[in-house]
Amino acid sequence: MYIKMEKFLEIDVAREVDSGQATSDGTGSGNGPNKLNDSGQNFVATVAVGDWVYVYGVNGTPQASPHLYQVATVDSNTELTLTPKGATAGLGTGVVNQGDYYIYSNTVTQSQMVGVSDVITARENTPDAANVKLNLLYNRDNPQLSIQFVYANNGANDNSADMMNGYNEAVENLYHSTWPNVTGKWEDKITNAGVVSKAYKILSIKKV
Amino acid sequence: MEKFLKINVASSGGPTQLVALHDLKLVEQTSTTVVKLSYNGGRVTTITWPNGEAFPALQTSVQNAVKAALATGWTEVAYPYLAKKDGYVDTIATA
Repeated sequence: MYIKMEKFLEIDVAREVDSGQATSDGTGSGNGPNKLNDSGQNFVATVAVGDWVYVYGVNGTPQASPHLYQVATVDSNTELTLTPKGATAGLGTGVVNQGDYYIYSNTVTQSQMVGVSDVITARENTPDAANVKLNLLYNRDNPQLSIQFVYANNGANDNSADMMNGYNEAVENLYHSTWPNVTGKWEDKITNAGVVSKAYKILSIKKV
Repeated sequence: MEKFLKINVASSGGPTQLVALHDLKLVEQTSTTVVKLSYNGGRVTTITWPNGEAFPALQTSVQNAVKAALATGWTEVAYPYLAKKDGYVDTIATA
């Protein structure tokens, strides 16, 4: 008799501190370069230097190549100065007008559990230039569920392959533990050469 | 091996409902009163609380119950989950 044992990775996920849509151009051609402007926000109360800004779309249309920034300065309640992060190919110059964004804390996290049985692939289904996404696709026979990780990324070398390697290693370790251990921690990325280091930060885990 | 959370619905002494843990993949608190459970096949069970709790209190509470339930022996099929704050939830619905 084969009985599948449910196992979960436990992951420290950054706390979402704000979200919204830019109300003017924060690129070099607007207020920028490398600004986020949103007239409806109260950034001084919600955002801290070092927080992560993930720009995922423009006016509700998701972008194939999202941009990632870190907050360099909280200029005012309605403006942030940003430092572009992520792979070189995906570096942005600021948030365009109507750019959709989330802001995640660099210091506050909460634990989230993600099931690993039935995962058939862990990869970047749609490659993005910034190298900040990893998707889990479930159910070999009828894939209906996809869970997406968005993670902080400090440079060209911190790419999705490293995160995939880290995820795979964590799953292996998790299944080496016996019942009643239900969960295991995932916090490392691993290069193809096998060098292990702590992943910068998982910014979000969502069903997509 | 099937496992369920057993949750009071409508009132603390009210009826109970079983929520399956088989094939559960993700627990997300999407508002102060809502936790969504995503399953392997794409189904989502939405649990709604009568009174709000700031994120991530409800998510953490449900996750802890899932961990505890899956760590119990095989004869314990339905694990009682005392819903955080009120001891019961408003509704449980699957779509």
